[in-house]
Parts: sequence; C-alpha cells; structure tokens
Amino acid sequence: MALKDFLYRCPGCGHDPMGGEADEARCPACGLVVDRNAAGPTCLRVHGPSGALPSEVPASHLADRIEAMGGALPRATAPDGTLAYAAGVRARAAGSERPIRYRGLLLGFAERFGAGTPGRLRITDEALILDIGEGEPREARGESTRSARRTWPLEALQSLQTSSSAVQITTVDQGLVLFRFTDDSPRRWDELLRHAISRRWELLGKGSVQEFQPRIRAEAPR
Amino acid sequence: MSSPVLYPLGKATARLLLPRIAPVEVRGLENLPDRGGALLLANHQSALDPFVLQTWSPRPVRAMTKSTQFGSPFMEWVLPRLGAFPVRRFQVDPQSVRTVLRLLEAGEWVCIYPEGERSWDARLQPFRRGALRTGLAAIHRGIPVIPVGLDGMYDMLPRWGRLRRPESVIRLSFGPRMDLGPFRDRRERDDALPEMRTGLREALLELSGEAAREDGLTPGGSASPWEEVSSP
Repeated sequence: MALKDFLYRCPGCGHDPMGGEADEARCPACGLVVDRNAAGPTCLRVHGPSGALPSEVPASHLADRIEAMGGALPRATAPDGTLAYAAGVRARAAGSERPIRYRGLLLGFAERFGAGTPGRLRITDEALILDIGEGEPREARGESTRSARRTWPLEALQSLQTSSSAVQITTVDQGLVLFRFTDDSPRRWDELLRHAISRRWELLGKGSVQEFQPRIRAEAPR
Repeated sequence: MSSPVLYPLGKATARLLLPRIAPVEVRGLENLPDRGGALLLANHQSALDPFVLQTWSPRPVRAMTKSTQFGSPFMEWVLPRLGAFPVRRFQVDPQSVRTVLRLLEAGEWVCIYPEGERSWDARLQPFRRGALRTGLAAIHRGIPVIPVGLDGMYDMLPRWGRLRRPESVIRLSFGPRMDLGPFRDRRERDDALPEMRTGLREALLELSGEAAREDGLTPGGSASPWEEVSSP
C-alpha cells in the first residue's frame, strides 16, 4: 500500500484522487505534497502551494479533514445524487475452512482462498456488483473471455471489514469474498460500503447499523 | 504452548534487530502477575506490534491472529509455533473464545488487539464487542486483564507505509489490571460491557501516548490545527 491509499483525497483542496507513490502522496490539482518526513510522533509533513496548512500535522487530522469534505462520497455520487462508483479488483472467494491444530490441540479454524479473479467492482445504492473479467486483457493473458456477473444486494451482506490492503465481505451465497483493489484505495471502499450499507438498511426499515463485524448489526428502529 | 525452539529464536532475532531501527522502552512490568494466566489487551498501529509485545514481555504470549494469515501451508505451520492462533473476524467465532479461555486457564498469557485491525491514522479505533466480552469472561474467572499500550509503532511501520527508522523511541507500557467484577451471573457480566469499553479506552489512550498528544502536544500547540473545513 501507499500513503495515497490512506489519503485518497487531497486534504488541502479536496481533489480526488490523490497521486503519488509509496510514502509520498501528491495532489495533481493543487500540487500539495504529503510525506513521512515529519519529526513529530504520528505526524506527516505537508508542503507545497497550500500555505494555509501547517507544515507538520498529525495523520489523524488529515483524515478528519478529508472526512469533513465528505470523504469518498462526492466522487462516488452521480449528478442525480445516486451512488455510482467502480474500480478494478482481483476477487477471491474463500474455500472450505480447515482446523488449525498444534500438538494435538485445536486452536481454531482458517479458510484458504481460491485463485484471484480479475474484474470490476461497482457500488450502487442497492447493490455491490462484480463484473468478472471486465476491463482486463483476457485474451492476451490466455484466460477465458467468458464474463460473468455477481450481484450482492447491500441488505444481504453479512459482514464488512478491511484486511491489510483488501476489503472483505461475507455473503449468503459465497461466504467470505476478498477484493484487492488494483487501482484504488481500500480505505475509500470501506467508507463507501459502510455508508451505502447504513443508508440501505435505514431505507428498508432495518434500523441504524451499529457495527459491521463480526456481522452487520443494526439497532432496531423505535 | 508455542514451539520451544522457534518462539525463543524469533524472540532473540527480534531483540537483536528491532533496537537497530528504534530503541525500545518497556514500562509497567510491575503490573504483570508473577504466576498464572493473563489477558493482554493492546492497541494496534503496526504489523510489528506482535513482535514488540511478544519479544519484550517477560513471559511467552499467545496472540489472537486473523484467520486469513493462516492462508498458506507455511503460515499454517509457522504461526502456531510462534504463539498465534486464528480468529475468524468476519463471523462470530466461539472456537477462538474457547481457545483464549482454555489457554488462560492453563496459566498462559494471551494477547488480543480489541480494535480488530490496524489503525489507518494512529488513533485508537472502536473496540470489537467480542474482544470486550472475552475480557469480561476472563475477569469473571479471576484472570487479570492488562491493558497494553504501544507507542511509536505508527512512525516505524504504518499500515499504508514502509518500514523506516522513527524519530522517537518505541514504548511498550503495561497498565494496571482492570478493576471490574466480580460478577454474580452472566447478566451482570453483560451489563459491565460499557464500563469495560470506557475503562479500556481510557487506559489505552493513556498508555499509547495518544491522550498526551491530543492534549495539545500537536504541532502549533493546539489539539487541532484545522479551523473549519468545507467541501470544495
């Protein structure tokens, strides 16, 4: 991952997305640069044309600033106000679980994932949609050109969380599915999904979502 | 029980290598019990947190680890030998709770990261209810629950970044055992959940140095350098 996965949007001017590599995030619109060369604990260094910003600032305050600008929503919202956003992913579904033992003692269970499938993940106000194979040079890679679509209604998702650089969901039909983004921030997707799921659950009268793991749980409406 | 060979070997390696990146300072060892099990609840800023905690703890520590880490035959072989056991974070996992309680009752030390994942911005995140409930179950059994603060790890290896030498030292701080209970029954134990959450939060904010930073030690001397933000 890179700093731009955390600061997916410019904390100075709000431009979305941020560019840059590794430990440096760079705004293509205003030229603001954020890097790790700060002296203060948990701080990042800010430099560039945005003179109003302090030169060293806690990472948490940059996150707050992005959130105050609306976070991931403005870029993901169509002119008609609906949610419409997509990104390239490699999707992997978990296979069967197996017991983990040590010296005869059962420690717990773990799952093994199948091979990654390239695709494009879309989010709307109603569903999360995976178009398998879309946008990938399949013929060149010798893969099947057959494409398929998986659609998960947001109200049918059972859990949501980030895991390192991936976003994981649990679905009724496929169990645990993991999305690793090829060109986007997992943090952005986590925020978008939380927002979309919360709004969907409220719209359907299922209550206000309180937590997303280990399962999505809502407080019943009064 | 972890491997009598691999665990000490991993610990010795970490003790040799980590101080070359940053000095490690340990505080609050007097808060740890001399004998018997203990549940350590730590904040989580970096992938290196378990290495620091397990290396500088005076006794071996078993760590609850996300099940997806056990995804390859090699990791499945090596992680249990380094004291790790799996938890399926995407579902209620009673087996992982059973493992924690069994290890604690056998007199081992177990670590859980109650936030459930590493922080993106170094701030303490909300705790998972399951972790808090496990803590209450340990207290109910008379097992000490010790909050543990890690400070400086974010500057060394944040979730999104590469390993680098931080400006400050790494601090590992063991707090006093949580003063809750005893509980007469399960209902009383469940009722203590909010108190557990608040108490642990206050302890970890203090031990991880976050409380001090938020108290105005940020650059410019204010808690927040931002005035007002509006969407462009």
